[in-house]
Amino acid sequence: MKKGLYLIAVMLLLAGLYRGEEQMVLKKAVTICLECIGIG
Amino acid sequence: MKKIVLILMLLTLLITTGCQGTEKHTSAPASDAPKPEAQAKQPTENGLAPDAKIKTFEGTQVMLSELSKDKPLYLNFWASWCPPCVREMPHIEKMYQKYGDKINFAAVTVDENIGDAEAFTAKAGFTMPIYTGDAKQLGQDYGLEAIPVSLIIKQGKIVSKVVGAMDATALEQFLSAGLK
Amino acid sequence: MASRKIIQSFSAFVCNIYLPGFANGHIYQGGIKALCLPGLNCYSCPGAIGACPVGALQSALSGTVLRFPFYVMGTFLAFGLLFGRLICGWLCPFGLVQEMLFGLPTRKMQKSHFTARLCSLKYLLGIGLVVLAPVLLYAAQGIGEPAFCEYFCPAGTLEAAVPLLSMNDDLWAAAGWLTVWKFFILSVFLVIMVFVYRPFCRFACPLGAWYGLFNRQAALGIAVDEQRCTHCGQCAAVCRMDVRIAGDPECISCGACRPICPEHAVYFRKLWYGKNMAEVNKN
Repeated sequence: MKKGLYLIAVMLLLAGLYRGEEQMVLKKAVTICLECIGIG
Repeated sequence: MKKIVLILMLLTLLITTGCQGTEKHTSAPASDAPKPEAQAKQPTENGLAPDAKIKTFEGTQVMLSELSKDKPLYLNFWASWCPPCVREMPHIEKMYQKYGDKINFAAVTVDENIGDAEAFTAKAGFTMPIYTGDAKQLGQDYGLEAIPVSLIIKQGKIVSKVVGAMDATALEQFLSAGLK
Repeated sequence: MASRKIIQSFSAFVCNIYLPGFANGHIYQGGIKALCLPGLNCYSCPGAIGACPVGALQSALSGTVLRFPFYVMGTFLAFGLLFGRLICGWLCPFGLVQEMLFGLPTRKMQKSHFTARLCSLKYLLGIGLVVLAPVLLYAAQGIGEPAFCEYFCPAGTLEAAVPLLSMNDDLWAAAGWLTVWKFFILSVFLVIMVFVYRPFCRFACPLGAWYGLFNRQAALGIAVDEQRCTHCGQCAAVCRMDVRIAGDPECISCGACRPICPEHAVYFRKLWYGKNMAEVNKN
C-alpha cells in the first residue's frame, strides 16, 4: 500500500514533467496574477 | 477606500512588528491621496519602450517599434490562465473596434502554452491583433511581474502604464492619453 | 523545544532567501520557482524562491483550459508521504508566524470540544475553495479562478500583499475592495493568533489538512508504539493542537508529548532507525 503510493507519486511527477507542467508552475509563480493574491 | 487598505495595512504591520519588520512605509505618503482605479502612471525609468519581435498565431512577424511609429500603440500583456486578464479582453476588443483606426492595438500573450491562448481567442472571436513573443525576454524587458499590464507607447516611448485589469470606462480614459 | 524554533526560523529564511525582493518590492523570477516549497509560503512573497503548493495547485486548476495537475499532485503526494504534518511543525513559515504571535504574553484560549470540532473546517475549505471552486467557476464562466488564494488566504496577504503594496506603486494603484476584504481576513486571523495557538493551521489550512491524511504513514514524524501505549491520554493533554493521540491527523510532530509519555511509547519515526526508535527513546 505504502509502496504503491510512493509509486503513484513518482508516476504523477513524471507524467507532469513529461507534459512540461513544471514550466507552467514556474510561469505562474513568477508572474503575479494580481487578483489572485487579493490585489484588485 | 484606499484609506481603509492603508489603515488595515498599518494595523497588520503593527501587529506583526518583529515578524515582517523589513519593509515600512516607503510609499505611504505618496499613497495617501485617493486615486482613481486606473489612473495613468508616470512612465517607468527612462520611458523608452524596449523593442521586440512579436508575431501573430499565423506567424506574421512585426516589430513593436513599427507599431508605435505612425500611430500610438496600445500594448497589453495577458495570459489565458489569468482571470482578470481574460475578463479584460472583451473590453479591449470593444476599444479596438472604436479606436482601432487611430491607435494600433497589440495584445501580447505571455502564455507558456501558446495553444491555450489561441484556443481562447478563437473561441471568443476577437478581431483585435493578438500576438505571441519571447515571453521570457518580454518579461525581463518590460519588468512583467504582474499581469495584466497595459501601456501606451508613442514613437518608442512609454507614455502611460497601468498594472491590473481595467473595465471599459477606465480603459477608454486610459486610451485618451494616447489620442492626445 | 529550542531546536524546533531554530529549524523553523532557518526554513522560513531559506524559503524566502531572495532578500533584495524585500528591499525593492519585486519578486524572485528564477527557475527554481518551478519547485514547490513544502510549507504554505506565498510565491508572490518578494523573498520566496519556490512555489506555494496550494498556490500552484490553485493556479494549475485556473485558466481557460482545465487539465489534471499531475506535477503538483505528485508533489503533494510526495511531501505527504515523506513528512506528513512534520512540515507544519518544523518547516512552514506561516506556522512560525503564528507561534511567534502566540508567544505574546496574554491570556490564552484553551483547546476544547469546540476547537476540536472547528478542525474539520479546514477539510471543507480545502475541498470547497481549493478544488471545487476553480473547477465550478470554470464550468460556469469558462475560466477557473484560484478562489482560496484570491478570496481567503491570509498567508498570501501577509507575505505578498503587505510587502508588495507597501513598496510597489504600480500594484498599489491596482488595489481595491478585494484588497480590503483580504486585509480584513488577515487582521482577524492575526488577532486570533495572539490568543489561540496556530488557529490557521488547526481550523483553516488546506495544506495541513492534506498532509494530516498521511500522518500515520509518513516516513518521518511522531508515532506511537501501539505495544506500549495504554491510551492514558497524557500526550493529548499536553498537546496544543487538537489531537486525540500523538501522531493522528491533527499532530504536527512538534514532539512536546515525547518526554511526557509515561510508557515511552511516543517516538520520532526516522528513516534510518525504522520502527525501533521506541527502544532508542527509552534509553
